[in-house]
Amino acid sequence: MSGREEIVGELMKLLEGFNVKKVPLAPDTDIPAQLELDSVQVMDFIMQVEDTFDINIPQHEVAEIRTLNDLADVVMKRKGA
Amino acid sequence: MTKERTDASRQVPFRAGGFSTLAEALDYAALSGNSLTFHDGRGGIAHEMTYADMARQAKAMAGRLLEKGLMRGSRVALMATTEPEFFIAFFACQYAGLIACPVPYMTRLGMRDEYVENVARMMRTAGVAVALGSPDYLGAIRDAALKADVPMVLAYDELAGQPRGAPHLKPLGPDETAYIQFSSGSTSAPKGIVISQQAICANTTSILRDGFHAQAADRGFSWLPLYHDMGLVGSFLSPLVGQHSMHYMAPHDFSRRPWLWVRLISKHRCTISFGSSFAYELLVKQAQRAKREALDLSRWRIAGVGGDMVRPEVLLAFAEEFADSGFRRAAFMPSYGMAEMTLAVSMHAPEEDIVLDVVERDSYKTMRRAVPAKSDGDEKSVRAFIACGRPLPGTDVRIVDDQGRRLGEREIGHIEVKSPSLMDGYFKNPEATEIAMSEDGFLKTGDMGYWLNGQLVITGRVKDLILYHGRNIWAHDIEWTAEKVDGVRTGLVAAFGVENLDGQERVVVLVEARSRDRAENVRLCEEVKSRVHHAIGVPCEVYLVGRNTLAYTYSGKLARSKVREAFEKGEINLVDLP
Repeated sequence: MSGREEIVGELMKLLEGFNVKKVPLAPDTDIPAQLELDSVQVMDFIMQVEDTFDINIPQHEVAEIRTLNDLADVVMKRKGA
Repeated sequence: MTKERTDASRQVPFRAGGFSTLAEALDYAALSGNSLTFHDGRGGIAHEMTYADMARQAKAMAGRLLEKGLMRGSRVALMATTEPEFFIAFFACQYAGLIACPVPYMTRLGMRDEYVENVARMMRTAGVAVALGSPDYLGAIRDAALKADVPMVLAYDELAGQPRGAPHLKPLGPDETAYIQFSSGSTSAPKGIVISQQAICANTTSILRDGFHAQAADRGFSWLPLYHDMGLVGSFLSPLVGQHSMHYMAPHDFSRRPWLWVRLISKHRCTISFGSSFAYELLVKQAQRAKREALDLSRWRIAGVGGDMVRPEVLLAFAEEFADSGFRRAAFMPSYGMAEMTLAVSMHAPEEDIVLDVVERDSYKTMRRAVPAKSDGDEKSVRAFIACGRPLPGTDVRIVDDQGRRLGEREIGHIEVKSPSLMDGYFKNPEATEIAMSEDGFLKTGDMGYWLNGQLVITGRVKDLILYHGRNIWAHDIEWTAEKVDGVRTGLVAAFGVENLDGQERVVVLVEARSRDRAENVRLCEEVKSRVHHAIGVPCEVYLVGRNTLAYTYSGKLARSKVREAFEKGEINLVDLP
């Protein structure tokens, strides 16, 4: 599981669990704006991402993430690090 | 064990405050042998720092700051991350005669742009000369500083490597300012609350002596954000003034793994820890997870509750859930305060059970009287409140009606406060200061409440403040965000919180419709919803209302409370959308 597409696919699967409004998900879906997650759900989601990919996402990077693509970038960077 | 090591290195007796400056308090704590422990996101220990280390490093940093040619009294923005560097930098300002202005760090998903704007406004408000921050966040701090014309930005570690001049340090004195605290309020128009050395010394001393009945062996735990008064004063400066050993965890780590709160209290035998009702509720939800390890909460003698409306059912559920871990309900210490009063106004007596007052919902909402409920009414007809203790000694609290007359027992009115902990005013904002103060020097808190056997009961916080999941959100900030959406006219938006039966608030936004086009109106509502959620971080309900629905007072200022009342009574016609 290292290709970008696979990562985006895996992230979508995880995010689907939080997608109560059933917003169609795409790589450029703006997670905070379009999914209306509350702060606890966001943290849950980030933790699931960390567990799935076995990485740590530092808080300052969390603030920079808006889209699934952004998140995939962070995952790839952390996996490579 | 920690305790033996502590006793061995203690050179001075325990002293619960009574200092005349913060610098003096740290110099004393440096001789106590006590220390601060910083935990990482999984509960492990990331850093340890004794008060002696902290004092030494703060003095070194003070010399380096002065070497930059800063004038006495210059404001220094400090990014308040929960790590030793912030603590050191805060006290470097004390020793160097500079005014520390703690600012938030980025916490929420995708919030960078809003964060930069908000912090730039704070920096501009305080006329900041230099901004210091954690290296991880330096990019955002730099962007904010650029927008606010702040000439100098440095990472904490960058400063540590710079030359330190001949440091003749003249710490901030007893008659000078201690720091500037940004109100937890409006981000669109932040106000810098000027706290004097006298005020911080008075409030922390009273918190320790009158509130905590502090003891030498007390040990605290905190995950509270250090850019708010509860975190800064309650869990950083008060313990320091009492030389207490402390354990810290970052707020974002708490929201990821809330159960670490009770686990670390148990493991490190902490006696004092504060949270909001929302935080206690999170723990109730995560109780099973928290209890996967055996917990001993029997030493937790002060479980402070503050920062939002104290919700009785949450505290009762928490006490029940953690009773088998040794938690005692009498440990709860509901408290009331605000940054304008440094922090604490009233605190429940330690080791005394909480006081629950169940009143008729109708009479408290419409007649401004807290009438005890006759029988066990259903939740629709009664409302339970928890008393927040007696005012601290030396704190003059009065509850008055709209005409300013003092009210008696169980009569609900405006809470006004005066004490030696009162702020000097809002930084370079005499207009706002004048509005906040009565003619005879009381702070008009904007909160409502009543007296119950000498204890304060709070029935509602500032009307323009919405309490959402433990956060204070200003209605004005939501309206301001909504106004940026195409098709929304300035002044024709009203945002407010509507209390649900469980005491939680939900956010409602009303927008006056300008268009008759359905599709356009749907787009407008969706866009307001998503903008507000993104910029403020709260979900909201958006409704369109007809023209001239939103009431204005004579000054042209939106009468938010009137609109809310009308909305709650169902008197406002909402425009139907598919």
